[in-house]
Amino acid sequence: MSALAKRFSSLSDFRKTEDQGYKLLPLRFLPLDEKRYVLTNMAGEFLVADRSHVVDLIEHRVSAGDFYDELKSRHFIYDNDSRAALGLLGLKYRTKLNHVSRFTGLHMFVVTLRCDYTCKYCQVSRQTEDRHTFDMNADTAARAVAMTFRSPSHPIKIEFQGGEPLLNFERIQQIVNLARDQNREERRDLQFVIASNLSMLTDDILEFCDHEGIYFSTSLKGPADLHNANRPRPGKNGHELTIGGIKRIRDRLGIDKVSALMTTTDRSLGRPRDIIDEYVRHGFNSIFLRPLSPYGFAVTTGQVDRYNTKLWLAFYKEGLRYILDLNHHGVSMRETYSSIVLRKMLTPASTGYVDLQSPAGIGISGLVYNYDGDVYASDEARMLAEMGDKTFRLGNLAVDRYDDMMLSEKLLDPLEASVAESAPTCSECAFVPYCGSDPIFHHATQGDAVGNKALSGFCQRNMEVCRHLIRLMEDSPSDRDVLQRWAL
Amino acid sequence: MGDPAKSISEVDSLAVRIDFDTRVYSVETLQRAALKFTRIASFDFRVDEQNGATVLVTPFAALKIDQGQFAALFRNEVLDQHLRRLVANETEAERNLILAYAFSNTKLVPS
Repeated sequence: MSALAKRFSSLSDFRKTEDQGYKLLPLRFLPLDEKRYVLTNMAGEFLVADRSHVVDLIEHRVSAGDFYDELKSRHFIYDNDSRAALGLLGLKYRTKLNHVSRFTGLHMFVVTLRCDYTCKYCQVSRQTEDRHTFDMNADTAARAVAMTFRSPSHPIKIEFQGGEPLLNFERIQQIVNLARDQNREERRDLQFVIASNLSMLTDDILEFCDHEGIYFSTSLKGPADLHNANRPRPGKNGHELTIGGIKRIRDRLGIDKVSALMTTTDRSLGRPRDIIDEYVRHGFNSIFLRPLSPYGFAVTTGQVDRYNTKLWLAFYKEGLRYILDLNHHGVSMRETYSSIVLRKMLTPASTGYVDLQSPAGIGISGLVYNYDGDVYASDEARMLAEMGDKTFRLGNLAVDRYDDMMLSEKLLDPLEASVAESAPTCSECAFVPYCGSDPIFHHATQGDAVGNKALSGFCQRNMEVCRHLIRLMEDSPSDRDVLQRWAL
Repeated sequence: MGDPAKSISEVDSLAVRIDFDTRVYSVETLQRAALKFTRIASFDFRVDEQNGATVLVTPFAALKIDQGQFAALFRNEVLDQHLRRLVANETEAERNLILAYAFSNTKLVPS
């Protein structure tokens, strides 16, 4: 002890600087509930405190002690012995924005609009046998591949969409081969995904996909009655075909080669547990309780938008509670929307999730090449166009150049409007490090890319998801253990 | 921190008038606070050199709002907005320095 005492100064020596006062670092705060406030710093690190503590902090009345140490260690304040805080915060902020410098990594090819399903919620699919009208042709495909490689992004993911993309598998093969050829020189990290209902899966398709290392993403809406009601097709056997397809892909390509996505509809809202049970039953260890899409609903006012949001939030909270309880009973399952937000809250890493980015991911994270050569800033922009609004159509592959499309006002104006840090209400919101400012959503629901966030279902949804996750972590140590694992 | 509102009075059966001392709160602070409630009410602002600022709140007719409760919520939001302004003003230099660190040596800004 005596040697240690000589080697280290006493604790009071380290407290001396704290008696000289502190300086605030940039921070935001908002109420968590009636008593508590959430504080966040520029990098999204958060702290929960009583309102009186927030006032004390801002009026420089916090003295040495545990709260002072918490504020200092999480970069809400700095003092004379913590000047490195500014540089560290800069580094964290830069890491959070890393995705912006990568540029467009996701390239979605709509190889056909034809589909064997007749889903009511789907705004983009048309059931038709007319191949010439609704299929992407070879010239358009070649131009789309060329534009894909104009992006400087090292990781390039090509996702085939529809309609049902397997109905134009010949075009998928052409695109894969063209991209592989070009990548011999480019040497990008190239990945392919087919978003399919799997009903057209054949052994030949599986063989090609096995050879090329192609992934599948399919749609599983829940148990058979719910899936078939949401995704009607002739024969009413969509669920059976999807489950059968999942099994064939896992057997031939590997268990990790197929993932499932759930689109929430009004039928889903009362049945989160049934849907989650279906995912567990078929061996999935994650489920994405995705928000209701505004594009398939007659949303003309902010109030209707908010009404739908309230229904989804109840669905999400019940589903999340059930998934957490499954984890407490030894079933490994995670909810993807929560995982994305938790990753933003608890790690310095940036996420690639397009809907929660600032600036928005339109164009700079993802691009859509439609069957007819039209280029859209996102999948939602394409859906909007199918409803008659082509605001976010950037151009056409046959006539417009990459530079002109990527530098057009149609992209740059909504991108500028989507910088949440400078948007009204968002700029002062404590949850802005976890959120985004989806310009297409606000254009669709309010007719304005920025939107009034007091009327915004997007804002209401993300505010409540953030509040709910923080409350769970603050109030339940066992839930916190599970949620912290999801962030990794 | 004192009480942010000098007085609250009911204008008619629907509208509420809340008076603020402009020596304590700027009109911009009041407007920022009001923006958060534009889902449930419309707002009108009047400034008088002698009497300070008056915020006239008219809740949307379809919504039933407890006027006293709303005034309390609005006063708290005004206080929060005032504190946010204090933080923003005090940390402006740090914020700019952190952003300079974050964006230095990147291709995002011209050198």
